[in-house]
Amino acid sequence: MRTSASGESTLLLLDVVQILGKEKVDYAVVGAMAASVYGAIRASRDADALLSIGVPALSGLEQSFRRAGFRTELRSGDFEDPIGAVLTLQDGFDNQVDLLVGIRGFDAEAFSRSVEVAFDGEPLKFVSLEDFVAMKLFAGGPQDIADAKIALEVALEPVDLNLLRKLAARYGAQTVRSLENVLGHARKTNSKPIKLPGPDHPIAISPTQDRVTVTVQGKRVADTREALTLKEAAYPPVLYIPRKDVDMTQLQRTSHQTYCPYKGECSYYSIPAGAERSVNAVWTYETPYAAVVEIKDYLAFYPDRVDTIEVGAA
Amino acid sequence: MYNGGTVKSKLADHSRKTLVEAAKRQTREERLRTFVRHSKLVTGLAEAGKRVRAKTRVAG
Repeated sequence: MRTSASGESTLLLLDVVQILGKEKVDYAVVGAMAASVYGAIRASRDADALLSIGVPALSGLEQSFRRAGFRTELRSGDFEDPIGAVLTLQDGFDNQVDLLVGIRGFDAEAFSRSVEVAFDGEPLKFVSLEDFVAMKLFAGGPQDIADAKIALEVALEPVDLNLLRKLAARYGAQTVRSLENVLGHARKTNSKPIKLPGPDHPIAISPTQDRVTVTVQGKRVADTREALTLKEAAYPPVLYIPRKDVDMTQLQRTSHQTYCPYKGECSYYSIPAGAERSVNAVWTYETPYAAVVEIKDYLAFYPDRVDTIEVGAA
Repeated sequence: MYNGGTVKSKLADHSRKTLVEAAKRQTREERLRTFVRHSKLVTGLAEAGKRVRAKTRVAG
């Protein structure tokens, strides 16, 4: 195990995920960790995840974790409990991971919709925003409802309302009512206009065949053969470079934010090596609207705030 | 300070908006790292509290 002190349940979860992978059991993180990922940031001493297996298979899985050195406790829910069973896993520092199975109303397809978020260089799978909101509304406590509201408010990508309504219906009439209340709240708080590209404001995104490199103060900040070219209305074309091909260690996040009704909320980075000239030199739509979803996980550079943006470099 | 919506307070509402705006500026990865740091701090505080209570009992 990679934990070395208390307060490291997320690290413990990485070990748990490794064993789940060996056992071919799918999972999706829920609870406070998922709430945080979706914007309702808080602390928790444990990590929670749902498993793709049923209650009967859980005792076999418990043995695997025991063999791997975990302290385990398996508890089954009674007839009325919306949770079928919980397998609690602990290390020697009281870090804890709770694995939940048999959630009443839970859609098994949720595992195929899960969202990957990297931690410590490893991907962790989280329930999708829609599954998270539906589950929170089903849980129904004041904090749960508040979490659902925040998740919808913070979400900048379009939420799949059809899916969300379908999921809420699985949890019953109370959850459906709760969802409509929360959506009413979201409509009131998110008054930013959303526009779709069309003949009066066309947007076209296409792959860039050539290699693209970006340099600042002699240092290469980006180097890719997978750039995209975005052509929008009468604006000059913009090259978007995959985040994986940008040296993020040379970038510094800033608090600057802008909004485009066609693409969504825009976040910025400075490049310290370029000093004043490179402040907010890089922008990205982390959760772009559906019309431009291709530029998710891509970054663009202002040509006048870097030394070169070279296209077709050898 | 967070107001889940059950009590009306302008101060709490302002605090909530600030938190939401801060969360909007972060990527999911950054929020996860914030969660981890926050959880570690809270766990550290809880552990320290336990140690102080244990010492107090011994002294008492």
